[in-house]
Amino acid sequence: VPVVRARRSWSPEPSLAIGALLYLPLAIVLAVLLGYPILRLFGAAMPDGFNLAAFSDYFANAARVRALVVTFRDSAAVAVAATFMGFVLAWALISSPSRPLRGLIWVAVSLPLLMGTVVKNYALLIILQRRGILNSLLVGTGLVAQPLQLLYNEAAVVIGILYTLLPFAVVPIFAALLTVDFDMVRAAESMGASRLTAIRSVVLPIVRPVMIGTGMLIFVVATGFYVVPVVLGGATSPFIATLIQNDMEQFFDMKSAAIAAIVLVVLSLVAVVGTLTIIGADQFRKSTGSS
Amino acid sequence: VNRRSRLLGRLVYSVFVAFILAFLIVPAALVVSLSFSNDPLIAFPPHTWGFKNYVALALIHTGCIPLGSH
Repeated sequence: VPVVRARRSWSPEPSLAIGALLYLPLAIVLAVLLGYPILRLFGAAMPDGFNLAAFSDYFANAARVRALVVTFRDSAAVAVAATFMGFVLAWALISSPSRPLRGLIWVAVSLPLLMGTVVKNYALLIILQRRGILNSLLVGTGLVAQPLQLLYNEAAVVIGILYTLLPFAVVPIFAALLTVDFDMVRAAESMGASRLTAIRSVVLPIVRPVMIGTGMLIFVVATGFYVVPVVLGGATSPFIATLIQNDMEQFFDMKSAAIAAIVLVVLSLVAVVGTLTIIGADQFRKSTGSS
Repeated sequence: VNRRSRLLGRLVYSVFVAFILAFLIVPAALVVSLSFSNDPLIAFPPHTWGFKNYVALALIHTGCIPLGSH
């Protein structure tokens, strides 16, 4: 009797096994580059086994808590400023009829990306120092009588990080503005709305998820900055990354460095989850371009 | 009043865009101008101008002088 083998019916959906096989390279990369380092981090933070006392000790130290507060406060300020300034520049790119102005904006947005980190910070150092360009300008024009203390404070750190991250706000917001139908803005204006009201009521609701997503990404990246707080902030504006470096290089205290790194990762995750909650997972996927 | 407020809004917007552009361009322009300084230490404005840094870069690149010796 001939054996008739049952043929599998074709399906456009891949089987579970094929799907798992396709995900395998990604899973390996994530396990090796993300999972393993984080496990090592937890191992370094809790060498004697799982024990949360080390974290309570971390938060009992006022200097570390201050670094945490400064890191998150400055990063939040950078995120808000970059998103707002990014929107303004992106709007100028979209709405300006002047081709030279649009070209100038693109060049200006590209410049921070073309300069090395140390070069950028030294340029800002020269501008912000006591006898720097900005103070000379302020004193020369009579706006202030004495040079201001513009360096070695949190404002200098925010300016430095903002200079680096502003281009990363302009590009996604510009891409989002490209999807806006500007006939709607013109329609709103024809019905008596001012330009600002038209932007607020027509454009902002459309690009809001992108702006929130961009702000969140900038916030998370800013929390990990090291060079800017050291060069422009000095001892008065410690970031968590500064403390991690001190723990590792000066005090050889890997445990404290690992705890600080875990705290940074966890609080950044909280920021991401908070953003997901605010704008919704679907809109977040749209804003970051993932499917 | 509407026309005046519209003009004022446009002026504020233009000044703000100019401020952001200056914020992005001035540090880069400063670096470019300082690269033409012949001073031994970084100072702005430079006391002497020239191509010392570019010559040093070319000589380092061609191996004529070791890095950091200029």
